[in-house]
Amino acid sequence: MRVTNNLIYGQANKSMAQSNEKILNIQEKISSQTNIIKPSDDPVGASQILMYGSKNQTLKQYDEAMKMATGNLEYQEVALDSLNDFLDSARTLFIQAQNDINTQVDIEAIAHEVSLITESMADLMNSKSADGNYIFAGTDSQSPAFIIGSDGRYQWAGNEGQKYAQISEDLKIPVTNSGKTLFQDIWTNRTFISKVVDGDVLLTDKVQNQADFDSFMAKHYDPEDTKSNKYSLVTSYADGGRSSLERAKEQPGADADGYNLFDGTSADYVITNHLGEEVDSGNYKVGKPITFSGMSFILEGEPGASVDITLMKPHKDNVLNEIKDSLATLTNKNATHEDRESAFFSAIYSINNAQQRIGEGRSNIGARLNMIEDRESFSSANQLSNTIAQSREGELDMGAAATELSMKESALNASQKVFSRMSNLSLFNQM
Amino acid sequence: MSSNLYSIGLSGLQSSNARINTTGQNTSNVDTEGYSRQRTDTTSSPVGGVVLRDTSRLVDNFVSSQVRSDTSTFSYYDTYHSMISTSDSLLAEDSISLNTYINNSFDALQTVNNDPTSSSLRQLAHSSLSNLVQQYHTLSGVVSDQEGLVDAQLASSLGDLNTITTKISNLNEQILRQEGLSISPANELRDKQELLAKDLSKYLDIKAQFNDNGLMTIQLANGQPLVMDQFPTELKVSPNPLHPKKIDLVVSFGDYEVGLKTQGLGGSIGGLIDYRSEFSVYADRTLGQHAIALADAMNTQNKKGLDGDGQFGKDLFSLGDINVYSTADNLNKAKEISVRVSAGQSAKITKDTYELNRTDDNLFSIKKINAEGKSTDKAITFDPSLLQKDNNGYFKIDELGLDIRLDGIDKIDKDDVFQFTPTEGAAAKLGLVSKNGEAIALSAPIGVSTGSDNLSDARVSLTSVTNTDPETSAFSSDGSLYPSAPHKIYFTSPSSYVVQNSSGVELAKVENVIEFSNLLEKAGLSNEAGFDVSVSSMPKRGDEFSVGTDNIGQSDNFNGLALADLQNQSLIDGKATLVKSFSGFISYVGSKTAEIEGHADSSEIVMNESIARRDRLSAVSLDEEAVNLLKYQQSYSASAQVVTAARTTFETLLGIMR
Repeated sequence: MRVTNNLIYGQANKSMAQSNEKILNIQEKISSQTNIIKPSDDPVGASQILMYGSKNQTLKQYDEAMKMATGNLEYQEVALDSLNDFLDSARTLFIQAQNDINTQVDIEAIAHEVSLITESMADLMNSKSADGNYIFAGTDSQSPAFIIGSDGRYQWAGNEGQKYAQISEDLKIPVTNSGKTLFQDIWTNRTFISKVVDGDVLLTDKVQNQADFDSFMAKHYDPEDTKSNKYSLVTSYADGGRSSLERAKEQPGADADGYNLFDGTSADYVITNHLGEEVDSGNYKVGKPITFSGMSFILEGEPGASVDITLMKPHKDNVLNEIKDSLATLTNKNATHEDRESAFFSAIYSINNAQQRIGEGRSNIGARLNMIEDRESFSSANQLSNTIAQSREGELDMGAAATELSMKESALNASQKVFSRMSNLSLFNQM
Repeated sequence: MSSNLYSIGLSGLQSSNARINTTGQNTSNVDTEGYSRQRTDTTSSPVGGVVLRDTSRLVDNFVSSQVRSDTSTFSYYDTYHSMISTSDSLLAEDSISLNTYINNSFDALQTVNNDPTSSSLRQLAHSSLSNLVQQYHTLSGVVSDQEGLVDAQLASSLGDLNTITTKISNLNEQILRQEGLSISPANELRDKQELLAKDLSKYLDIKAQFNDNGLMTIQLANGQPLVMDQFPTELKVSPNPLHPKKIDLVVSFGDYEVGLKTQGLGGSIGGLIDYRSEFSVYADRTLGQHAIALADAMNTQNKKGLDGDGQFGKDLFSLGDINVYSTADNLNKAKEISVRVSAGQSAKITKDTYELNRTDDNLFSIKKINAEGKSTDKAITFDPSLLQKDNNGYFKIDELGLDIRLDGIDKIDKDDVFQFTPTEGAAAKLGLVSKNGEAIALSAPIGVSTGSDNLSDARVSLTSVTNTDPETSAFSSDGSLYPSAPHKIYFTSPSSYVVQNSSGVELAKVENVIEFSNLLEKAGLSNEAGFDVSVSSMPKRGDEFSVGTDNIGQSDNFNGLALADLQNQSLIDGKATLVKSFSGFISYVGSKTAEIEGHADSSEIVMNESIARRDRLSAVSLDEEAVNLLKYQQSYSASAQVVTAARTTFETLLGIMR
């Protein structure tokens, strides 16, 4: 091969330029601590790193949402917890007030205490979060959830909207609970009315067993067809046909005009629905209660009476109003024993229902908090694995890089030495 | 006899002298670029002595042409690489990568969802959207700056190129003259010409041939002549009104011009043109498609909610006008055509160029042409007079996701061709039209409520809002529901319900329901209503659930979540999310750069190898010249000795005479 000057110098030039370029490349990688400086270094790796990076960014986004959601939910839980405590005390006070040895003064003191508790509860229902939103007002959070109307009753003023938080790509959880569900839509005690339409009897009725009555209502109350909510109770003599007078005469020393005359007498009753179909029948003793699906009727007087029973439409209201109503009855000096009893009853019924609903709300919040906790640990594991994958794609192996650097340096050194030797080798130098 | 000896000695002296001259020429030109070593040929004379023949260059035309073609290949890839590497090093940088800005925007949207009532969070979201728009501009700026650079470089390359072709043809003339006067070839001129041809091959892939007179002619790789004998031509850029971004070249012969195929030109000019037509166009359209998808999806979603002022959301982003181009003689007609992306249809927009032409009196057709110039789908034919036009005169072409308006339909003749590319420059034209954070529609446009007298504990919730257009949905333009739209769902039994309008008239009746989600869809009303609701558990007879626009809360984030969820939707071409699509683009840039870099590296090695081959034959070796110099010096001395011998002989002869 003919070796020409251009070849010698060109070769030296190229080899040194190449070595320099390689050293520069390694240097850049070492100083930026990554294997991929430009996408062209590893096109797939570069886009993977970007994808992992955005994935992590999105996960962080959801982490942030979860933090906010946790804050919100915990705040609500605290409020609900306090409310529950207040309801406990209110119920205790009501039970205390129910005691017959209380004087009216005692009852008024208790009523005062309960009304203070009610105000505190109202304040909790209108709780405001740190950012100034009413937390139970639904999404209408700039104004209170409950306002006091001109009639002195608490009115629901929020809406049913829920604010959601996106806690993963496909999962969003509600972070607010509307006070309408939690506080407003609470069943008040269900009732009926009854009326004597025929016969000379004294009727006393009450709900004897609320649970039985509730389930009867749930099964048979018809909101559309009001006729079908009417029942009728008819009593008659067990052996049929005998008039009251006949029977009275049989009783020695009987007072023919008194209702007491019929006490303890065995008689029959039939309860029919609006179609006239028999739904219940049986034997009763006059003056003793006839019970039907949790309702109890005491008919004092001659059998042969007819009573119309109408199921009242169930309605919902917040516990504050119920308590207020009950307190009004309690503080009324003229209220009868029965009135008071039913007031106690409806207050406690409402308190129980409210507590139940609050309990549901709290367990709901707890479930969401658990879910967030699970999601958070998943998310941090996910982020870790993404970061690891990212560094697997792009992180520089320091040892390898340092080795490579010194290798490239010695290569450059060698090229330089070879060049200086070659450049001295010329025949002209020897002539 | 001795006169013969004299002449032999003299011829020896002359030839040695000439050879020493040649050696001197060689050693002194050891570093001259393009110099080919010369050799002086001699033959022995039949009458004694040596006869000088010509001094010629040692060149191999095949090797030279190999050098030229390898040079142009390397130059092609090198130019392409130096252009594309700018994008390569910039795009993946965290501070420049679009992904960073997309993530930031959606972060901000998610944050504002946590408290929609906070105007500072809204403002934050708004400014992050504005940063995002800015970043689209920056990125498309990177692309268009490169385009400008290509144009400038192309102009100066063509100038250089035309100078070189002129020089080559001038040299042809000089060579012809000089070689007519001498037996030796015009070595230096030819070296110079070959060097010029090599320089030329840096710009274009050329073939240099020698005609019968030994003069150089230059042709392009496809056979188009560039230098014929002594006539140079001129290469020029010619504007293309139908496709302004495309670079067309013409060869000018003075009187007339011939269009040049721009494919496979080779050299740096080929590199620049291919960079423009392959990468630059791709990058611009990819960013444009990205920008259109983002803007359209955000705008569409924003209109489905209520903004901070309780009004229906408006467009957050604006897209620029789509330019329509035509051939030079139809250019004035192009302004009769307006095109825009149909709202909510951005997933159908491709990176193709769309070609519209009139096929007959009534019919127009549109076909898509991809970046390689091939039509991709079957052409779509339509009759504008049969299509429903909106208030602004646009009619919708569903298949393409485009709205088109033809103003002067009569001015457009049969077979007129118009082209437009929706994605072209769209990233640069993207704008943020919303003024502040209040414009972001976070709230649902509708609220639901559960009847207070309901016997069950079932709750109602809003499941979807799909359409709020006053013309096609239940929402009127002032935000309220039309009285005839669904207002109430009333359960006549736990498994059947009726949907009622505002005055209680039954709109639909559904029976045998076992699952209580999307109640309007079950009633066949969800499409025309534009929203749907679900009930959480089994209701009871007499339960009612109502929808309305009166009681919508400020902290509702129903639509905000949908806006933020766009980051997970396959918006681009219906296939990829925003982030994934951009990562794909980065990977394309990376692999394209790596590919070109690989070609550049390998073609450099090939080029160096052929240059080395040429150098092995044609370059000067100083050692060789040193040996030759000694040899010729000695041969000179020897010839001088011959002359001395001749003189001595002659004097001896004269001495005898004395």
